[in-house]
Amino acid sequence: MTLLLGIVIFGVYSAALLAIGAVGFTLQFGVTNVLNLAFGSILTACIFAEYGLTGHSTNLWIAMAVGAASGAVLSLLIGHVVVGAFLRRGATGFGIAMVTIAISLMVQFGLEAIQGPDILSYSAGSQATMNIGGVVLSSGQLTTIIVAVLAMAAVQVLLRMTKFGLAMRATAADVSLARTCAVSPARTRAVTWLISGALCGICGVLLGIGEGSFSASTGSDFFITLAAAAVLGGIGKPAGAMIGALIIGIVSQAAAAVIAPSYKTIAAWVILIAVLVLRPQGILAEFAADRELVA
Amino acid sequence: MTTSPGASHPAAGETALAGSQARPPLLRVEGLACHFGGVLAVQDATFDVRHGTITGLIGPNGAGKSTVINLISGSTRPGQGSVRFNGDEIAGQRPHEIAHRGIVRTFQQANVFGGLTVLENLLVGAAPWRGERVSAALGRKQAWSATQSGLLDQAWDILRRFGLEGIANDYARALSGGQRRLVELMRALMAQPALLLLDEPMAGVHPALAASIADRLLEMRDAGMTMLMVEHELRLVEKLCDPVVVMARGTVLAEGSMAELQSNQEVVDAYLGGGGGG
Amino acid sequence: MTSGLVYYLSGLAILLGINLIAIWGLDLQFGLAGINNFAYIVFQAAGGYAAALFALKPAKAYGGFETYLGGFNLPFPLPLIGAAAVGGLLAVPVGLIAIRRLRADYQAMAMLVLSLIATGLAEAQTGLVNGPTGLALIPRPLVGIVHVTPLGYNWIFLGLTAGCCALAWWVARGISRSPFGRLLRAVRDSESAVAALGRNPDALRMKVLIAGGALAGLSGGLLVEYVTAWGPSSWLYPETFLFFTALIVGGKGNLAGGALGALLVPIGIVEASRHLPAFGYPGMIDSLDWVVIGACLLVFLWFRPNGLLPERKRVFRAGRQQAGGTQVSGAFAQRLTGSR
Repeated sequence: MTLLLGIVIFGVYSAALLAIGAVGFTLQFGVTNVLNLAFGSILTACIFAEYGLTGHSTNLWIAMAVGAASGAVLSLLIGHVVVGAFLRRGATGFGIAMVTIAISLMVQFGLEAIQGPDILSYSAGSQATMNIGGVVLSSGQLTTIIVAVLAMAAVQVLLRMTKFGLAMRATAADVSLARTCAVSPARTRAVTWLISGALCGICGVLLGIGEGSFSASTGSDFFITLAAAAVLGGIGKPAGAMIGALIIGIVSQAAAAVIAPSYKTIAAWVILIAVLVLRPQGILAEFAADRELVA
Repeated sequence: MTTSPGASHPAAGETALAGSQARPPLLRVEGLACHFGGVLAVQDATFDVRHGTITGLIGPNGAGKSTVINLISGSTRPGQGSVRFNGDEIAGQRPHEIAHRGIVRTFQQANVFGGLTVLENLLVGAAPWRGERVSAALGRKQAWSATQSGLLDQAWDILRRFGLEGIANDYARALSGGQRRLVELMRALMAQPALLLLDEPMAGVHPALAASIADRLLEMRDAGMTMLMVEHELRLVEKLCDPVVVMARGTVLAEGSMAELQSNQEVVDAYLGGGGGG
Repeated sequence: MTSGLVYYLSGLAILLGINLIAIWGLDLQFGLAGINNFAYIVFQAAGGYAAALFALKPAKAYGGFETYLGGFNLPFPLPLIGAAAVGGLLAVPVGLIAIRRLRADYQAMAMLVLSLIATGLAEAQTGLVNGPTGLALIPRPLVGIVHVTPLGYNWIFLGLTAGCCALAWWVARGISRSPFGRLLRAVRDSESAVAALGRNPDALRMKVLIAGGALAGLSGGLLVEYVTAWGPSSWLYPETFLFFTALIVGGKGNLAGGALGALLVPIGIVEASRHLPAFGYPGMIDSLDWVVIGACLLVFLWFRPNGLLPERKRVFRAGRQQAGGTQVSGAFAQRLTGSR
């Protein structure tokens, strides 16, 4: 019984953590149609930035703010500036995959060079714990769930109730249509990269806290799991990404509990490949195969 | 063979009249239907393509003409209906299997191999041959080079016929839109197809070039080749195609010569009267 | 030259040869046929493991020092042949993903994840290939049969590598100049047009995936037999991009370009940096290598995406000249009507 409860509770925690990143990833993918394989490296870089800037023992909310800010800046720089430049040169899907991989390698191994051989331990906020029916949840994990709920709500409000959200949805649906509706696609995309990066940074900080330590490759592995949630939910669909995160979160916790801990990520990755190959439009959304790539 | 092309075949003009009774059609499309996510693109399309004709396929935008080409060539799988080629059912087969039977198509958007030269494009057009196998690639060059030089001669002949020897060794990606269409057409000819499906071969082509393409198509017909051609430009259809099949809203509206169709009120209402002529 | 330097250079030449085979294999798949195989390193890894398991004695013989499947104790050159065969066979299941009609970036991601899963499985299934620690004590070919100095052995191994390179060159050149290679380049540009001309694009891709996979497997087998150890940390997913960078820097679709890339990237960047004066902590230079490789990739994608030695145009001169227009027309008509 405790096993099942544990799977559910840690599944929800994993899902919350995944959802924050996955929503950021899917928003940006939906609006720009660029598959950003450097997302994981940005995530790692945010943990490093937060760790370096505040010394990692401050208030949790400040840590998240710093993470969000660094993520937003990096995402804008990598996505809007570098990838955007390649797109304006006529790079296509595969070329962009190559460009983002190259950036990812540079960031990840650049951080590894800074980090040195040690794994850095990380904590922020209080160390209090909470006991739910024999399953112990830390305050960091609880905060993650709360932040995820707030972030999801904020994204939904942004998309459904603001003028900018409308611009994002318009740009995601049809660039030329957006232009005729007096929406500036370039500005919309720039802000989308910012928002996506901010969510990525928050996700990174919370991941660091959840793991208690981090290294230069922390984000790369986590990114693939997060992408599994986003792809499962249907690219460009934040609501889908939340459902995807929930499924991936619970499946990976179950795989860890039932098979072996090392299968936690493998299970999620197998789902990702299966969805990419069999149903690339995801479980919820329409497919954007023929759209132009822009950043 | 020294006989003139016209005499070498019971082809061209007579086919439409006498040949139709004597010989079963080369291609028989019956009750073809296909839908995309609930939208019926083609419903119950039925028509024949007889030997030695350039059969025209016209109709307003969205009538399902290109879809019919895609269905015949196997690019799109039909929901129901039958496509008989020389009496054999080919509906539902894969594109390369259908092409292997001698049905070669061109595309609405000129579909050339940009990273290959024009000559190489033509060489790929030749019907599949032994030298293309992996075993040939790993064996001695002499095993395939002789056949290849034969194909090269054939390609040069076609290039000269089209007056395009000058671009033989240019990359296809460097060509203009009209030239790409010509490359696609020449490449299809290399295959010596029994039936050539042309999807708007003149779209976006300079008028002078279009006239030259039209002349080539007539020569090919006179040499005995059968074609099914989607085309918007009605003056060209009138010049080239007989019979003409009119489609509207996914179904075949009428069939006949251009003259007959122009006196058919239903066709005029649906197509010729509206956006026609242009 | 001191004998130490000679020994070092002979080892370097062996590594160059091994990389060359792998890069030519990738050039067949990616350069020629346009398959975005972001899981390429898995083919090399599979070849490496195959050679190791074919060459090793059963695990018991080493007193339970490591655990793995098999251990067939096969004599040279069977482990190498097995490595190539396994690399080629692996193409069949991988092809199920690599050959599907998917958006290029989705496909690239799926292949990347495949590479991660392979690493994850190799680490998780400890009984398969000794888990994260990897295999060690892999016997070198001909050891115990020939009795030579370490330098002498290096010369023998270099000869073996050169022989394998020649074989790889023969395969790669044969394919790239042949009508089969032309079809592969056609598939790279337009799959639908290839199908419309009567060839099965999936079958063409599968064939070249197998050929490239076999070369990758062979290079993995050679590498493992030379370094005598092989574990998941030797084939992490970034290694795939070492080969991609080499191809893009040197020039894809060009065997000489691949060779130049092999010299500049795996040997040039990775080996040369080992001779820098030591700085930072141990391993810092290795990390910085990857930063340089990523930067190289980015710079070449921007400034010279076709590489230093771009794919060469295949030019054909006109053969026999036709006399006049009418005659051509007759010949033309004959061909159209004659065969059917």
